Amino acid sequence: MNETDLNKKQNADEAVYSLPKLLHVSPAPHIKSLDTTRALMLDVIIALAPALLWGIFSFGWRALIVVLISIASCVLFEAGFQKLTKRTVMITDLSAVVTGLILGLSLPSRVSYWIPVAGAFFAIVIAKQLFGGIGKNLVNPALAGRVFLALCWPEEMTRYAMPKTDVISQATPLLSLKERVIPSDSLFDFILGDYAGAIGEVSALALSIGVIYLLIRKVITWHIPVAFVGTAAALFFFFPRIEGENGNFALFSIFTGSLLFCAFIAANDFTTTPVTNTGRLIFGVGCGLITVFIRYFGAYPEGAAYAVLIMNLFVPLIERLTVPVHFGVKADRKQSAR
Amino acid sequence: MSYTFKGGVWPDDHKYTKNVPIEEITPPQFVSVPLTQHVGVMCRPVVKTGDTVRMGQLIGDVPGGLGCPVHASVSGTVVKIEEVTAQKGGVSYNIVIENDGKNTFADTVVPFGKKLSDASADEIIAAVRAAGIVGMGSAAFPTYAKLAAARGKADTLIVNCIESEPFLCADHRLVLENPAAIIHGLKIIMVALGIRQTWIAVAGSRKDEREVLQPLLGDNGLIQIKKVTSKYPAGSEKQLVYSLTKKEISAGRTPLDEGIVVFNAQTCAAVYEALAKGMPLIRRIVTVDGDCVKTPKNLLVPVGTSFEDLIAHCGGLSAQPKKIVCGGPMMGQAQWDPAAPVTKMTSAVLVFSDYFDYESKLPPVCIRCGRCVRACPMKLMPLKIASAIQQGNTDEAAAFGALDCIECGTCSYICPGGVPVTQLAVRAKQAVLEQRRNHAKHEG
Repeated sequence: MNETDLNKKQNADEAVYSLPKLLHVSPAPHIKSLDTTRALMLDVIIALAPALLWGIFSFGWRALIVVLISIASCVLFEAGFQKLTKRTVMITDLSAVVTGLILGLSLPSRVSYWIPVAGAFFAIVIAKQLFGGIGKNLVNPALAGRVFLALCWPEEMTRYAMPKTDVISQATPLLSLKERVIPSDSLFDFILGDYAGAIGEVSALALSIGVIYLLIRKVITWHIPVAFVGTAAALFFFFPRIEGENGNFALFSIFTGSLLFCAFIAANDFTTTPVTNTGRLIFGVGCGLITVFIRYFGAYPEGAAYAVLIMNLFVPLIERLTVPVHFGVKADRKQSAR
Repeated sequence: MSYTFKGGVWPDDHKYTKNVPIEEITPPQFVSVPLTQHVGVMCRPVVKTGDTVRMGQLIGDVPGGLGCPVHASVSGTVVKIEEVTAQKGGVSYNIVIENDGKNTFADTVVPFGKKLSDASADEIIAAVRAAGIVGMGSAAFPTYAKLAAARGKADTLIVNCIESEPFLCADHRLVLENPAAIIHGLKIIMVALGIRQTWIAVAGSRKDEREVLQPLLGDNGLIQIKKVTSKYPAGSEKQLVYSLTKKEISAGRTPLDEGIVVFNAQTCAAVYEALAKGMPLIRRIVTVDGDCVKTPKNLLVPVGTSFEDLIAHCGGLSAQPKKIVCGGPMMGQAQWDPAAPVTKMTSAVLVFSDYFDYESKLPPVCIRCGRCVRACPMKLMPLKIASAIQQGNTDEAAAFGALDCIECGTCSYICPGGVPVTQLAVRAKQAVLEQRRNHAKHEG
């Protein structure tokens, strides 16, 4: 049967299709999962929406402006760098938006407007693009940007506003925990997020909704959040800094500061975490340990972001140690043992 | 309970033809029978241009070594013997036969003379060889050779009805419409190999298949149905054996090393046809589907029928085709020639338009999400093999198990960054093999 025969079979009013002489060839597989990088990043953005909304509700429109500046500068720096170095501009994969969003949410709402711009520069240009861009960077760009800001402008980075006021809080709950005092507010306020803190970090509830969404959508696996929070919680409970207040101390320690924000969102960045499940467990445990060590023995009241950055550097090593045993290798070993 | 393995993916199953009965097509005017349709050496033609051939007549014989004879799939005249590029690459020859429309059978198409209980293993294996039967899943390994190797070694037969590739419904329809042929075929294999335990592996989602097979099993318990979790690649031989026995078959070994032999459902039916009717393997069931095919169907077609003819039998095109895939969408080969013929291993012909083109505007980038690691049914780290070979580091690719890759396509399917991981792993595999060959040459 040739082309004309095929065409005759078609109705006159229907479009006519014909087999080309040569067809397109490509390697298998010929179908693909629809979970592209862009789709995954979009899911992360959706997961962070509750935290952002709560931040705007608590700290007002200024919080939104800070986050938007952060996102816009991340995207601009990414596009600018890629243009400058004559690479394909990849901003449509939304990874720069996610970096900007995470960075913005980890800032206090009262920072000067140039602070997110400086953070975005460090995050995108220094931490991400200079290492080769998405998939190649060693440390989490957003957290690197945040730590860079905290080291350079500590006064700016502690302008935590009291919710629904412009008053800058003097004592954050973390500081009081550091001084071995259980904060006076009720635990419920901390779970809901009704206290002075960074825009997206205060509400444990909003972050939990986000992480559950990510888990349901299978964007992330449970290993890092569970290992991170589990390790930290166990240490807080069994070695509290306030004698006899094991339960209370552990709960207040978990629900304040950036521990949940890091464990649920930031530490799950694909590029800077191990690819194996076992590796992710080790990574999470390491993050939990270092967070608690910094809180207990370091000069800073909070250590979660530092913990993640430190563990990022261990990722190549962890991956080397957790290479899965290939299918059939165990059987081969048995065979040679015989 | 259902048997399974770790890893794998759940693509949309696209099995649009699962309720479409098998339809026998009117044999086309011309068939083009390839002389390479199997693992092993190419056949030597035993007919020449102008010869009259009958259906089932031997037209290509094995020159020696591993191979499998080919037969005329229609009766008529040999028009030409042409040189072509084989579907898996390399040079092959096709014997083109003009159909006389009479469907006269060759004299050799006669039932196996003896009762099964009187037949020796040698006789059965010789009959299977003469019928030119190959593994019809996709491997196309000559069945007689597998039987010969399994003699005295195998104690368990697994019949693979899983068909985990999307779109494919050929085996599914065979099980529903002619389960007796499969059961008879597997019994013949059991007799030939002296096997007393047979498992029919059926996908968990195919309750209808289990219902038709159950009454035919007999009550001696020698043949059992095993339910295997529906996911891809549950039908892959290594994964299937592991699911059922928890025994891992590493690269370079076969299920036979564990006393297991696996045959595809259509292969069993072909064995039955060969012994009951003396019918060589000259027809097979092909799923014709894809978004460009107007009425997707399961067709029983003579080997050598062109893809164009199949599409015409399905009502023509409904969209502008871009790609024709021979086999399932996960492992099948895209064909450049729309006139290419159906072979003994063509399980499906899928005609895809632009809609099934997933090329992204962005360059492929690995974001290290680890999905390929979790999905790899061979428990490899596909991203590491891919990056090693991209850097030209063959040793590292080998250390990460490139040779264990079964090329199932799972990693490319799941990759969010659009990296052709499977293709890179295949390249790594070839590089490792080449390096070993060179090494052996220098040593020797």
